[in-house]
Amino acid sequence: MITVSAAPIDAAATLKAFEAKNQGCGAIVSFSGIVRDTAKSNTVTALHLQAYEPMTKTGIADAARDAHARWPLTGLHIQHRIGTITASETIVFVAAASAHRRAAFEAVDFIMDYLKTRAIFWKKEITTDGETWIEPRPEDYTDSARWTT
Amino acid sequence: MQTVLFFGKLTDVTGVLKLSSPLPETVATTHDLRLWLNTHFDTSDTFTDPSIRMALDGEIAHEPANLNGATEIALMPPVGGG
Repeated sequence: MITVSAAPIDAAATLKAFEAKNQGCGAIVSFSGIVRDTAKSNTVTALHLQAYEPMTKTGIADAARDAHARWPLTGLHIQHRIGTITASETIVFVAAASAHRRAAFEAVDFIMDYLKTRAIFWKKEITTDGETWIEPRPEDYTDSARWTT
Repeated sequence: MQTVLFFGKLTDVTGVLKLSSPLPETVATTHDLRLWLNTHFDTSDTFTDPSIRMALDGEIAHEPANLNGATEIALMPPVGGG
């Protein structure tokens, strides 16, 4: 299931529902991304994310299909927020279910790398000193490149 | 009528998410549109920057391309990651 929405993410409830849907699967791995309250030199009060529907969701769906082709997953849940997300709120939640843990860990890692570098989002950091559009860090690209071999 | 959408840092230049006026008939290609937007928003090269991609009706354009009556044209700076 893929959701791109301005609605808040309740990671605990979503994980519980995902566990119920994947009962007896063997392994579930989940990741929650939380808006940090600090940037390099100042205090971050919020992030503002823009998406371009339907391209954003189509791109994530392609990445999900790719994950299913790479690992034997029994379930995959991807939820991303857009709009204004304040510090300490959950911005992204990804969960994968598989018979064994390695596939579930790797699939979540893979989806997160996609979301951090290639997903169609534009992100503005709102700090106490002003607002800046931000782009992926070099490490994000290095992380993402691990899956191209 | 064609809708022209702006994302990310482009919205700082345009001040709007969507172009409010119709495109002139002389704007027939992606290149025409880039040049016209530079003039319209009084910027020397914001829209001719090759890192700005264009999507026509939800598909990335392989430029130069004819606008061919696309109903939704998106001007997309490099993505920022989620």
